[in-house]
Amino acid sequence: MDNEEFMRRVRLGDEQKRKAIGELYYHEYPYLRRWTERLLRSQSLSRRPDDAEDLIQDIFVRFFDACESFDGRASLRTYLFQAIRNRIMDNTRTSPVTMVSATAADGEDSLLQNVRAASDPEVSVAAKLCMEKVLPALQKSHDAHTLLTYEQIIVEGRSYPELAQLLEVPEVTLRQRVSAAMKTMQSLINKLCGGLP
Amino acid sequence: MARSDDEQWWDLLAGKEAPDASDEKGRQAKALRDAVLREHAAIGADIDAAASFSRFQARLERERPATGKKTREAGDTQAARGFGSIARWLRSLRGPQIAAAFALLLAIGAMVRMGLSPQADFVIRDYALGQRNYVQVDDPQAHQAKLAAELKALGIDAETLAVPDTHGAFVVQATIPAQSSEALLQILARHGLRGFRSGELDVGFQKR
Repeated sequence: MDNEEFMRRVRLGDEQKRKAIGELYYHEYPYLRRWTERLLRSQSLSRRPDDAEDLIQDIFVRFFDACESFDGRASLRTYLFQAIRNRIMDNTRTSPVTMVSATAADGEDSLLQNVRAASDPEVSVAAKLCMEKVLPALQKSHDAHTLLTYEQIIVEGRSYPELAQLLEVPEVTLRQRVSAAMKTMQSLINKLCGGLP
Repeated sequence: MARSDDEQWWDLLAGKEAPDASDEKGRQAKALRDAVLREHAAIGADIDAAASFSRFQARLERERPATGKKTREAGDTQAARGFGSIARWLRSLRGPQIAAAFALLLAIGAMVRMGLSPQADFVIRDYALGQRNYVQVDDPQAHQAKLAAELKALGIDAETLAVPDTHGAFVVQATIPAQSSEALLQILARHGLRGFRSGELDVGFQKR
């Protein structure tokens, strides 16, 4: 659903607005859930999928109240992603205890355990080394913005201008971030994996 | 002109070719890319958009109740009127008419059983006015799209909901202005419903 079609339906009244918001939720939920869960993990806020869903629903309920004033400058997906990211970052800065924190009780990241357990022959030895050693080290050594930048490049294949808009940072900052993190990653790969096979 | 390390690295991470990059850089970027994609896929493995959508609808209804929505009571009243007519008819029966009525009920039962065609993926049931009529099928979205297209071919403007309702059903709604035609009845029968006359058609296809 594009911005214009969405706004047209929102203006048709409460019932159509509900339907439009519902459709938007249904279609965007898988994308937003992945990134929300990823962000919560990288901020060590939560590893529970339920928390990610609650947060997404919060954003949608607020959007339901405010969608008439949606300016349409970015796509709906980008707008919602930004709202979620800002909420998580604000939460980290202002009240880190209001969300369920990932504690030692959570044990080792179950995701990584799952990944390791799946002895998929298609996953190269090099990629397994990255999963086991490099990614956890990166998560400790870099801020969430940088990690998010890298993941957006890899998973979504975004260009510099697209990513600058999504993350609401100047392109120059983005390039500096990528450059700095690249050096760290290459050094980590060499140090932890002794170069890759 | 030679490209910078950063540009090569960006292309490699995004899964693009970078012929000017060294083999070592190519191996590092590929390993990192594979690892991140693998983790990303693992996060999304258990996502159930339909279940989450149902929970969201319930929450929205709770926290932001609908305004100007047709109330459930209105639908219930219509249904009650239908049942009332049947009850009045049954009370009016005397002597042999009661036996005939039972025979009729048995015949209807047999017809319902006959509706279980081996090719059909649903049980044919009578349409109930004033409420959503749920039909359990193997492929709800296919039934939804087909019914909407068939109604459109008859010149009936049908509305489909692109997401399931709170009961997980894919819905088709239409207003049938006059007495329904034989063609419409046949279409509805192919989707598991019979006996619709006219008015608001409201069908929800659920996964069997």
